[in-house]
Amino acid sequence: MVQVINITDSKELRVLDPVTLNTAAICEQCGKCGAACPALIKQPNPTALIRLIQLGSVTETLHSPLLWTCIGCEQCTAACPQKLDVAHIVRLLRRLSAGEKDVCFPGIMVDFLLA
Amino acid sequence: MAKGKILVVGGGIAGLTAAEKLARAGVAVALAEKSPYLGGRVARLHRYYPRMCPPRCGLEVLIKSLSRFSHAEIHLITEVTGVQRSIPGLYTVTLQKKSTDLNQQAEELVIDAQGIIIAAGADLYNASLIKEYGYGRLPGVITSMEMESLFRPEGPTGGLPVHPVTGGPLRRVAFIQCVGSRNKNHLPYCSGYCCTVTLKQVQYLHQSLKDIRTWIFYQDIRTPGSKEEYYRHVREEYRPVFIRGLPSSVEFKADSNELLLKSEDTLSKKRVTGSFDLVVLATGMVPPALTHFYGIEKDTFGFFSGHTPCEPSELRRSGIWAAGCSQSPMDAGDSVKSALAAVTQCLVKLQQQPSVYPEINTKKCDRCGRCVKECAYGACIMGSDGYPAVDPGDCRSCGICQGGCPLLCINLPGYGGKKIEEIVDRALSESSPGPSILLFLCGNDTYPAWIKLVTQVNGRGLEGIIPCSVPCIGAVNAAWINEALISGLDGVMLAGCHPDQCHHAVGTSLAATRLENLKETLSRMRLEPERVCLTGITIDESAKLLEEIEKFRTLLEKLGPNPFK
Repeated sequence: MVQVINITDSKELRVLDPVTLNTAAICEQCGKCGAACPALIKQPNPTALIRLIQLGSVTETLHSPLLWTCIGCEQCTAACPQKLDVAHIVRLLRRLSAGEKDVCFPGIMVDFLLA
Repeated sequence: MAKGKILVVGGGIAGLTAAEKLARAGVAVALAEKSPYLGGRVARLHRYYPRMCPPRCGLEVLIKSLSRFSHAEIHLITEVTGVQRSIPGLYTVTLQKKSTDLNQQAEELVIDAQGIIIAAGADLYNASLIKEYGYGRLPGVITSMEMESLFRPEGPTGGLPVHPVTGGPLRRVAFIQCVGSRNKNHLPYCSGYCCTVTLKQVQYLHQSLKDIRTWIFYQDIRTPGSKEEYYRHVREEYRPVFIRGLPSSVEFKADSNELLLKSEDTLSKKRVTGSFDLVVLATGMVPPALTHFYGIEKDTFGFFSGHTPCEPSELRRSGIWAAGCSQSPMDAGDSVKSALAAVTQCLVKLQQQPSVYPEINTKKCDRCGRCVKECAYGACIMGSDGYPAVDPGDCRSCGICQGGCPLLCINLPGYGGKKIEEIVDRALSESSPGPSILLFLCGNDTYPAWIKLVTQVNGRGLEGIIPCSVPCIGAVNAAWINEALISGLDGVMLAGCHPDQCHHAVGTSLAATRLENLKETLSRMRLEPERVCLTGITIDESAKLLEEIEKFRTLLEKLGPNPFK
């Protein structure tokens, strides 16, 4: 867990592709996607995930358990008043996360399901 | 009606708009500006919203047009030093005009003004009072007004958007919103324009610099109406990072020449930090200090907010109107709108149709000055002969002066003492089984409510009630109530607007004070003080009016008939 996020540290930001970063910028954090998400068991919900992207905190984004509890129902995308494709961002991050060396997604899954 | 000029105080965009429109309408105007130049704060902007055009263009048009008229005078480096009203309908304003030549003495000007438009603008909040942001102490911490000058050719950087102190390039810029605003230790209100200013400056930066990134620290982004569209545009086009949370500290790192900000992002509930080249503080506005105007209505913050929503420019002194930021913090577009509103009010006064206004019986008057003190519009003044005088153009026919006169020497035609006498006499000649109640109704709210009630209940349950409509409940003189009770009526009820909704601002509260005083007199006369009562009814509260009447009647039945009967 990162204690303090450095919002101007561009090194972290570069890991995310510019498209994801740019589209996430239009999110106004209304919370509708989080409220609509059926996979939502505990934090972070899609709203919080998008916020982490906006802040440029890649480490936390890629370690988010949501990436692996998402069932791909796209309710979040349907709910978004800004027409942001939230589900697409989650899918992109999942792909990115799977490529990360220090991310062990099955482990997170087990932890998460046991919790 | 007395003839005079219209004085416009302040040569900013609101003052210029007002003066120019009046001059075009053929009205003689005098414009007094404190500083040596016209255009005020707008003249110091780079661009203005929403067309993003240079403000000079609009100002030039106004100034050129205004200076064309021979009946328009412009006085620069001129301040108001005194406002007096000695002739009804006319203000005598003394102005002090300084000279640009330091050896010359300041010149004193006296203007007879038929009306005054206060467009004195507002001051910006002193950002150095918010110690943690380090304004004035740290290099690279500037206000949004200074940010505007970074883009202006005559600014400190010659129009180049570079670091104002080091001259270095700008890569990361942080904007802090609500600097002092919405803060009980500083300004408790929202100035309402600063969010759009920041968005505009984000646009400036991204348009002129390629490698620029911007962050906005905010509490709430407040961009109502069409500004929401602009907010969305800036957000999607330039993608500034919005951090919901205000920084706790700004520190300067001398080794890297950067400013370190610490904040909490309350959306993710995480602490955030960042280093920036420039920190821009979006400061709010504080009302102007105009010490020479007396009796003008101000809001709790000191702005001349007027009687909203019905009379926004009205300042409870007939012939004085407010426009622009002295009314409330606003942007250039709203300043122009408010100036136009003030112009309309001004033209209405100049073309005023004759209305009902009080007659003063100077034979009875002892010149106590109560009418002058209580007039909600400053329309009643002590004339040159020492007796109160009312200017018909200023009077709103509320009759508050008539209600307050201890000697009953003020009479508002159609609503005065004679009419009341007739009503009381008629009431006494008719006999009804229950208690007889004289019911005074305020013409604005309560009388329409009464009419509705009468039609609804078809007069049933209202027997013994003698209705009497007055322009404002403040027009009821305590002596009338006294007379009515002595003549044998059982009770007198005053139904006015709610005190904070009174159309004439002070009518209901004055009536309440007068009634309290009357109750003392009544108890000395061994009459139950409960025989008079005051209630607040709005236009749609017919049911409440009936309820109040029934309550009062039950009380009177308990008290028994009037001992004077």
